[in-house]
Amino acid sequence: MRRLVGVEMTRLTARRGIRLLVLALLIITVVAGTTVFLKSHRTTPERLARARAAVASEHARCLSGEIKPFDAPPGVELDPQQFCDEQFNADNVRIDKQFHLSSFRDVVKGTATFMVILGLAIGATFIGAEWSHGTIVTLLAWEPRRYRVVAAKMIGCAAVVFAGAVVFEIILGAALVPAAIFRGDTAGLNGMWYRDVAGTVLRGATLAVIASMIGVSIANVARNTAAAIGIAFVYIAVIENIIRGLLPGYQRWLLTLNAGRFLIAEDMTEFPYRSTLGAGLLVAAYALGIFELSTATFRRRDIT
Amino acid sequence: MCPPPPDRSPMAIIEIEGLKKEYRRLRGGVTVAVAGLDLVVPEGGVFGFLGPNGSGKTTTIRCLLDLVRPTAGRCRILGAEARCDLPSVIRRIGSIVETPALFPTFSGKLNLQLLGRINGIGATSVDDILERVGLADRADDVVKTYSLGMRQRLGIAAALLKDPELLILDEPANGLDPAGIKEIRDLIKRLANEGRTVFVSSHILSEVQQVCDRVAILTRGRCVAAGSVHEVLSQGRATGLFLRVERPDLALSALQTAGLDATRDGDALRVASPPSDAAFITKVLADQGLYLTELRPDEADLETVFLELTQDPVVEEVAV
Repeated sequence: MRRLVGVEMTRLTARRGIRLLVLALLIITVVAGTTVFLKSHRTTPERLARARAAVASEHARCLSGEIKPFDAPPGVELDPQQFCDEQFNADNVRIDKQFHLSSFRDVVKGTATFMVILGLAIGATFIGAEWSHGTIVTLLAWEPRRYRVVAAKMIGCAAVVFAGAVVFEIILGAALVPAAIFRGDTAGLNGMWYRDVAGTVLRGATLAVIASMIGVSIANVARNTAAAIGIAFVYIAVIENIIRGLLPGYQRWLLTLNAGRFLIAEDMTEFPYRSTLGAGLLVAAYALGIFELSTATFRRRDIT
Repeated sequence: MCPPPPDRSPMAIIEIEGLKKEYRRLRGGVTVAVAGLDLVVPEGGVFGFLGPNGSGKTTTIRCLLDLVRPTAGRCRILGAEARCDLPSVIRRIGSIVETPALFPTFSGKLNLQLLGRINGIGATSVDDILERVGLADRADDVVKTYSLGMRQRLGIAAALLKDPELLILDEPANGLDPAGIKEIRDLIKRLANEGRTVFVSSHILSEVQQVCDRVAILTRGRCVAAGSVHEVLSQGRATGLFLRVERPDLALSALQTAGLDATRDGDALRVASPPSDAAFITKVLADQGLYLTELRPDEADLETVFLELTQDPVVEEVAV
């Protein structure tokens, strides 16, 4: 089994599409790091003073009547002094154009969604290609135990997707570090923050693995990559929205809401039904169920 | 659950009993691809599995390799039930089912390496096998740049990589040019000479006749003839003797006077007698001062027998 998993990992990573994807992700991290570096500016006393002077000048124009209250309700007279003090208060001026590395956790949450979509696509195309090229027959001539074949593919795909998602987040984080050190700030990076970010990265990678598992399972039944992605899209974009609209009581069972709850790992007022662990376990159970159904179908199917 | 295995026929490498495979159609009804096939393939040599398109050859091979589930009957391969025990013997079986399917964007070498690694077969064996099928100099090129013949040879290389006792080749000469067909034929002969059993399905009969020791002819999912090539040929039109002589009219008269069923065929004669009558015929003609310039068995070729036995190639369809 170990050999079979190794073969499947090699087969996946040797694919041209996967190599192009890795290259694209590397380019994205370089572009992101460079852009953030160029856009990030530390707040200097001179810059702050210039900004406050500009606001003070506006305040003077307001008092002279050049700038009038624009949203006064009809028939209501505003006190001009009060209005100008509220609108143009130089003491309240804050400039923050610097990148805070502490915000990386939010970056991870955003990119994790992207990783989940990629995981689904990678899983679907991995087994979809076997069907479209007919290589599943060749493979079964070497290993006729079908459950082992699909399980090896699943494990190999999961390992590659998990490692890929974690490595991508690490590289992305590393690409943002120069911007934080030289043109931003690194405040707030304590032990809690590191645990928090590591947890988010790992939960995101786990969700990507679950998505790849679902992709493999659907493509194995549909025998086609595009069909698998289409089915997943229809479920997420149509079926879940119908359930949300017509059967709100069943929201607690929806895949994407539970996945979001698991990734964010914070109490959500709009989704109070489940704990982080509970949501993660439910999503994993769904994926395992789909995988088992798919494998049972594959074991009974005539390969023609 | 698999039934208990019956006693294995001595020296049988493939045994098929009452194999039946039906496919249900979406609009109702059933297509019968294999209809109660019985077949025994002995160990060693080249066994030709012949039949027109749609006769059930590939379905039978798929049943043997547990790719499709038979509706009824059983298949045993190297003594193992195909439905249950195939994993125990799969390392001893190399196969191509229809067109060899390998990843088009991988090199030929990588494709073989990935397959070989499943059984712990190293890179050296892959290089050797590529050399053997004449693909060593294109080993690092991606498969999609290969010609059909090269893909076929790569498929055979994949089948040979396990150093199998039994090779199952489904239409290995499909799409090949005459030179490619000869290459495959020579390769099959070499493999059989090495002591392997080669089970080859084909509808290119002249090729099969040249390499096979035994054949089975399939039509509409049933075996209509099986045995050595000679035995199967004898199931065709009656065998006789073909002869040439300088004065055929006189010879014809002499043979008919001697009670033989002789007919004129251009400037030659055909005699509906077994080859064992050749001496008698020679004597009859010599007594009349007529001397033979040619005398040989008038045997139908495999193609003629095949066409006689497989007149309706349409797959039987049964409405439900």
